[in-house]
Amino acid sequence: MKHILLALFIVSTLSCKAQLTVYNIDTPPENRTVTDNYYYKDIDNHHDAIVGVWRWEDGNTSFEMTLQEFEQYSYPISPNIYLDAVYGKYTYIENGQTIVNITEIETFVNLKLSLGFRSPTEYGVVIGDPTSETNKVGEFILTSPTTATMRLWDSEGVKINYGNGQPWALPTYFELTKQ
Amino acid sequence: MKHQLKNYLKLGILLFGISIILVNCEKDEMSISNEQTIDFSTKKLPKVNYYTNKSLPKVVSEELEKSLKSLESKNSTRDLQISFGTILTDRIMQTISEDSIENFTFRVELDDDDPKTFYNFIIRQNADSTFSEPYIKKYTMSDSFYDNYSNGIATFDSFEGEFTNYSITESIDIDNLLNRSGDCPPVPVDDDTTNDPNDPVNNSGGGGGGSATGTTGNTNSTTQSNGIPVTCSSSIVVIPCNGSTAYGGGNHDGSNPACTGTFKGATYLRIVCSDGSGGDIQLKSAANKTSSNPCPGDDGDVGVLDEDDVLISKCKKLKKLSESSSFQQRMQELINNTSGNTEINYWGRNDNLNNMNYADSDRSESAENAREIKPNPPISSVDSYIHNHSFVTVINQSGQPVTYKPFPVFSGADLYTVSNMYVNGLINDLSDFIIVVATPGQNINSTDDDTVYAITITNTQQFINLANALAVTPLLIDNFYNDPNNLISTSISTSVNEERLARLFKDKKMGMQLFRGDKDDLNNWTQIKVKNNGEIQKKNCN
Repeated sequence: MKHILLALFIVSTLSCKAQLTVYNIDTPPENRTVTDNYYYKDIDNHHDAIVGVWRWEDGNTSFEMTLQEFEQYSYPISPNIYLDAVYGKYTYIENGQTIVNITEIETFVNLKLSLGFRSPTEYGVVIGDPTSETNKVGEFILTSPTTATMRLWDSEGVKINYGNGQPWALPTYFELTKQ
Repeated sequence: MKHQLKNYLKLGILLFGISIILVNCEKDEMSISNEQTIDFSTKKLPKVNYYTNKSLPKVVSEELEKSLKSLESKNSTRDLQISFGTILTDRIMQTISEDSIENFTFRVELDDDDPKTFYNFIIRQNADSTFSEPYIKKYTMSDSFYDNYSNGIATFDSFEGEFTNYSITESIDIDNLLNRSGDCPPVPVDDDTTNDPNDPVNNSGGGGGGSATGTTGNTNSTTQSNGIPVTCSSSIVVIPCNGSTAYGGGNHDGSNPACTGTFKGATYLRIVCSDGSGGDIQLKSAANKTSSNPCPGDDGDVGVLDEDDVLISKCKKLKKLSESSSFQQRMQELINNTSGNTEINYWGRNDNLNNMNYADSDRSESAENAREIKPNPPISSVDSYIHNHSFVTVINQSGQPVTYKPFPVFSGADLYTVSNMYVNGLINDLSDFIIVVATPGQNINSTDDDTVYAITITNTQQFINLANALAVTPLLIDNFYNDPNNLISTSISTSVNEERLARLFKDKKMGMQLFRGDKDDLNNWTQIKVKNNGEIQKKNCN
């Protein structure tokens, strides 16, 4: 009888629990039928092509970024919405002098670099510059399994109390090679 | 053999148990109420008025402040931040019942993940002008009603579910409200349409207390034999208790003390005509339920403010804004400028007559092809801001000029700015604040396909959560726009972007509401909202 009661308890728990709906990461939001308790998963492992270390070099000047996948990540502001996210860290050296060195790959609240899937070869970029305390958006395009371009620009719109007055510290165009 | 039978018995119990669980986990079927015969009695209807915090009678404002002192209220905006949420003061419903009891209903916002619930705050002024203890009233919709309500098929008129009253004189916190463990038992209001001959609401014709009045319905007119036109209007009332002052006041014959005995809830269509005729048509009635614990009670007619009232309130604000000559003039300038290469921004301030003004001194214009505009923050708190987006031409890596399409809806930076303004105390009243943008269409040389959008704050608590998050991590908003689960980008169409912006507000619980305007008729606004099944709902304000 004890086993029956236990079995009933397990069945009842599983059957009444809110289900997490899993979508492939390329699913348009218009095809989603829920607004909560869902997970955008990289089912086809597209992220494998971009995680790792990418480097651009021009004489004594270099930019190196490391990308990492965070499986089933959720922002604190929407704790029931999950995503396979790609976040990163980077180091920028100009004429042999280190300008920016972000040593840890962190999620919110210390997020500094993220890439968002748009297609298997195209990602949106959001990157923060601690020197100027501003950020830019952009695109990361895979041109081959080991090469990519990254272009950055100002996000559009009204900005007040934005940044510390210092200029943007990084280049806005990179031709990157996977290490 | 005996052992085998025992095993069969166990298996039978297990299967029976599973079947019971599965049945219990299914959603209830929606029932349709029976049609009722219209009983045109001469019952008087409550008088209904709407107020804002500016027009609310002083004595009620004082009572509100007094009653909320114990709840750590702080008047940082005109809404009242309390320990468990926000009491909105932009649309207050007053019902005056036949026996001169006045109930003032306020909408309450909580950071509540359950879309089936909403909350009202009730202050009652008795016939002798004294005030009873205010209380929170929580409405919980049934699954079947919620499906129709959230999909726009049903309004609160056909409410099914239950409500619970909470005293605020005792310790109350958000967990207490969310977990439904208030000091009153939930009162069911379901689709049991059984006509009970002993139901005093339906049959006594007695003075009506304990009812909840919904939004006013249609108005129709006919003509009497003497040629004088008769106008009839309908409204929906939810009568929660069995009799006039039940649920806190006992039955109207005084036979039962407060919160004891059996009481009922029901939804009625209430009709009143200018010739004195009218009456109640029972739409939904509730099953009997017994309770015996003391609790804050309804007395008189208690109004209900639900989601539709939020839309009405925001539409009124947009209409008021659109009537401002300063708004019309400045918006025309912004629309004309969408085919240029600069962004213009104005901070807006309400004058003494509550008309929005955009002064020259509150104007900023970006550098050419700058993509972003960095106006000086306003020198004092403001009531709105309006701006335009425009095409941008830059020189690419190959030295060639390239023209980029502007953001077809509000950008992440636009939202960052409003949150930054809140954090820095630059917004007079969150619930009144309006942001407007004029955005270009596909044609760089024409404003024909331009669009106008507005944002209002509908849930200040959620918005404050967002503002606090962006204060720490400004790039979070660009991340939201860039996330693959809801990409908002210049590379996709305006119509898709506007819907995705509405999805962003919903999914990330940002407390904002998107409206699309008409550049040729600035008084024509359409709410763009996401239903819980992910579908888009567009409701015109007019």
